[in-house]
Amino acid sequence: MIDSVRDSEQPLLDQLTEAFRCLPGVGPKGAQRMSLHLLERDRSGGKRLATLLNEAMERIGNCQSCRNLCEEDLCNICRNTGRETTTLCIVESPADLIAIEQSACYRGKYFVLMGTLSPIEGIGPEEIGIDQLLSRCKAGVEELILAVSSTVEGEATAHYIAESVRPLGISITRIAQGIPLGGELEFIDGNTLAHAIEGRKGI
Amino acid sequence: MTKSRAAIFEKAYILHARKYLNTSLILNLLTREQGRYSVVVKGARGAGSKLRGRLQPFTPLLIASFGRGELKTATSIDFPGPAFRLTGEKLLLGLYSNELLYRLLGHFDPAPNIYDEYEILLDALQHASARFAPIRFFELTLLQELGYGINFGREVSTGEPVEADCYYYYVVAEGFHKAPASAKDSIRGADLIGIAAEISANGVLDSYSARTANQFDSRQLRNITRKSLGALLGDKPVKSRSLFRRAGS
Ligand SMILES: [Zn+2]
Repeated sequence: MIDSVRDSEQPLLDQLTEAFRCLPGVGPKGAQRMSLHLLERDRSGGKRLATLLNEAMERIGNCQSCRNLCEEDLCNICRNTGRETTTLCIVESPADLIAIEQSACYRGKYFVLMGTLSPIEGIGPEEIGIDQLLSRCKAGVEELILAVSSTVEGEATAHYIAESVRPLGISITRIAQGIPLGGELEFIDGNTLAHAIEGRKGI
Repeated sequence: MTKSRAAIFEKAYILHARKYLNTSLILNLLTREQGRYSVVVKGARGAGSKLRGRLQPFTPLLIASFGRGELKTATSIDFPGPAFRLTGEKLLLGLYSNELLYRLLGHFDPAPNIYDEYEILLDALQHASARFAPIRFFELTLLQELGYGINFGREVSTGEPVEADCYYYYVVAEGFHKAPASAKDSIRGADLIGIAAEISANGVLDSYSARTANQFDSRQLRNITRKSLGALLGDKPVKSRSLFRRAGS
């Protein structure tokens, strides 16, 4: 890992290239390509990017109700009076929220954990906003849908949330796990199959 | 990934996996032969990867890797058996054991006994009905293997065997001292003798029976292991403990 130490001796071009490397998946070559592209071919695009980056970093925070990224106190979904307020869907990240929104299958509200429980990384109940979630649940929520990953951390997060919310008497469900649509059984790994068989339902 | 003819596979469990670059993972492993270390698994999260979603904790692995530095590179990974299926509270206990190992074991410090005990722990968490006995037993073994074993059978200042109808208190890094009859938080000698007997019975799964559950599920034993581990872990709190507050562990 290279420290992005700002050195006034270092030419601006090098500093810029270095800075691009904070983006996921961008290596030294890619970063250099980005710097040169903007400087040689698209200065106005570069300026626009700089202004927007600056503004976004300053102004985008978290929705006070669901923790999703937004620039107001409340995000569009939380402000939308047309959505059901009694159903709350718990997701790990803004990207997961966007994925569910794009599937257009859900009309309730969300709560974004901004991660999963991961003790080794220092992410515990506080970091995933458990207190905020509980007070949210007390305000008229009737069903909680846990849309977390089917990973060990996702599993632990689902269990912890379910146990924390259970005393409130809210119905708690977890999205189904198992065979993907179009998936052929013989190519599916044993753990996924075990989950799918355990979670079988009547037809 | 291609299997090289010279690949040496070793048994491993993932203590922690984190995303690396676009499609790769860095695994922190507990291995039987080389202790704890990290490997990069290139492309493990890629769209076509057979490993995608499968590199999870509590899954037995056979792994071949190369590299000399702190961070090795995996060349081949096999799955010799099914993952342990831990659910609910047992899953949180599994994460707790991973955090302990992550923080207490040094890099490339071979620990075959700890590896074997860890496997016994996972099996017990999946199958045994005892609530906390497996994890307490694991904590005691871990302390033993790290050189901080607790002698439940002897009074430390005299070296005499613990007496069933006396009371004792525990001092970290020392052991059990005889307590005045009225002392708060003291432990009955009979309970210590019970624990000592179970430990020498060598932790086979049968010992996580209802009979031992009383001693091994006790708050007193939990406090003893917590104090001893605390001395090794330092000031940074064990994060997974915060997951049990509601469950009342
Ligand atoms: Zn919101």
